[in-house]
Amino acid sequence: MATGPRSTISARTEPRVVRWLLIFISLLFVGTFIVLPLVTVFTEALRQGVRAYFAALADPDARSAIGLTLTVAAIAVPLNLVFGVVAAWAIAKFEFRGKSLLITLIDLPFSVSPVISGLIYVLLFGLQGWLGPFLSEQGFKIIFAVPGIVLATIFVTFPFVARELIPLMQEQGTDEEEAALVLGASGWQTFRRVTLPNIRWGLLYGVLLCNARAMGEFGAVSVVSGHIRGLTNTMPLHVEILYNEYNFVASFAVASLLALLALVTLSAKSAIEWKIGRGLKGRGH
Amino acid sequence: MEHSPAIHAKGIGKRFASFVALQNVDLEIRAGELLALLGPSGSGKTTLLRIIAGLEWPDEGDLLLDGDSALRRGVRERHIGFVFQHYALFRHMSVMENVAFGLRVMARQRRPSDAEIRSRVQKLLDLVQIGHLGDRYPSQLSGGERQRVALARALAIEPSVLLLDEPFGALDAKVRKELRRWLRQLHDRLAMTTVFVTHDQEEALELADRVVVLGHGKIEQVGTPEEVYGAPRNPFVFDFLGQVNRVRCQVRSGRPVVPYAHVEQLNGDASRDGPGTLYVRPHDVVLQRDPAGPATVRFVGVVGPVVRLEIEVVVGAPVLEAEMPHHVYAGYRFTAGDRVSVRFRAATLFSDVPTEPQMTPADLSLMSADL
Repeated sequence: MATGPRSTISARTEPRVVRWLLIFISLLFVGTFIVLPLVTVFTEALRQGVRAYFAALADPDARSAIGLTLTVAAIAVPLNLVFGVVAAWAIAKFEFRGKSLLITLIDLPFSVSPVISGLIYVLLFGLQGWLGPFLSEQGFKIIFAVPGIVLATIFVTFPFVARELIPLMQEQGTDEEEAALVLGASGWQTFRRVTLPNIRWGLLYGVLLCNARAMGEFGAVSVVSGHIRGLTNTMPLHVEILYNEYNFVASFAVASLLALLALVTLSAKSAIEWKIGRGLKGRGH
Repeated sequence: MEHSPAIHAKGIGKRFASFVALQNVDLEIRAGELLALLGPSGSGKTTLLRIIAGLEWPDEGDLLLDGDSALRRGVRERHIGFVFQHYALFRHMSVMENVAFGLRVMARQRRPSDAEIRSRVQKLLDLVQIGHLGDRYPSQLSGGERQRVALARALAIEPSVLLLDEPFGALDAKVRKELRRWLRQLHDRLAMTTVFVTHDQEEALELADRVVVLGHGKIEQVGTPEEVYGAPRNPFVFDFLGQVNRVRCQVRSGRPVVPYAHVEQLNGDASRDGPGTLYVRPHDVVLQRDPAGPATVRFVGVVGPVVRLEIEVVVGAPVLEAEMPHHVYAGYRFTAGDRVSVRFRAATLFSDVPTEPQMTPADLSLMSADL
């Protein structure tokens, strides 16, 4: 230990210059591609003052877009929460044929371009599509209407919760569930009192990511929405329309809401990660 | 038997894909007894325990609990206490809530009041001597304490039968011994039918009223510890319970012939002539100093409760192990290289050579190290 400081230096294989260079490059990258755009969004939005900013948000079309985005998320996220828990439960706790196929299918939305996802729905439910004519006879309109947007959003966001839960539930195994059953708990009691508390942080994390994507989704929604102002325009679509009309302040004002959502999601995510980390440390084996 | 047995397995068979876990298992477990299911890993002992609990279903056979078929009842309705190998405590609940779980999930009309649940849980925690740990979480407990929580949780629903899967497997040697003694006392106090699974013969022989030796999904022998240790019914049980020397011999006109040793008391069936194997416990190998003797002492270990010697009869042949008390050894003072004559005080003959691969005590200790 007499050569303590020396050995510390030699223990780090990289010389100081390299370390600083690496840190500098990372910061430059993050600054250029993340911080700068974020700052731009807010400066552009506030370029003509706070009043113009709020006026842009109070515009009926903007309000309708915000409302639609919230509605879509309010439908898609709970559905994907249920789906994610069910799928993760099935995959983690049971052995069955076609399990790996199911895992692959759950990942599909991640590997398919959102635009393609949207197009698939148009081909399925559009007026020239497979099910479109039948559905329009029944008086259902899916494409260029809210149901289509909801469907596309659900498709794009369904891996988030399941992906988050599968490894967690696999790691936890089935011992505690079996213990609960032996002690006389019903399936529902077992889920509510044992399984759910064990996965709650992972679940919240997944829901958060799912929500962020549901509100921010552009590609798939753009294909099925038809961009009808005040009716089928979500926030991301509205941002694009306003921008194309050179209405920069309004466009960035709406965009700033999405940016805020991202920031809130990010901090909530960090808080959960911190919580999980602390939980693991406190209860580690 | 005066009553119907508490647990009665009738011809139970179970397979997992191509692996046969249990075949044609018949077993009667008496009310109030402490029974050990003993066997190497893969012998089906845990599967049998899980079938009794209702966590697995047999492919064939029937299971009676107090005389009624239990196979139509699910795990919830069987009212059985089960202690899992790794305890399976609810990690997000305090010790108190873990123990209270079985009471809290009861149907409303049967569920005790909150105050009663609390007092019953406290009594149970006191019973398992962790009354002061109620507010802790499982991760804050030692292995032995977790074991006690698991036991208290299982007892909370006042089960008719208590099942324990490798109850001491995850504990270190000292705690294991202590808990073993304590479990025996607890069982005597509660007089509850208790079945535990173990691969540790010492544990089974020391703790249980009766021991069931399982091998390859079949029951090899059932009996008191004295019976299974003193009179193993077949080579498998002999090999599995305690150290044993296997000596090849030829049976001729009712006597096993070993060129270098004299057999004093012969057990087993020597009616058929031909090759056979003598099973001799090390403490039944008697040595006499004899310069013209057929065997040589190769190793003397004096550390421990007995003196352990290794004897070589033919160069390159498997060594014989002998054990003698220190006071006997003091009369001889054998050292490596001494020539000796050999007697078998008692030996058991199994005349036809078993076809299944034999496991030596060394294999078994390796296996338990893996677990």
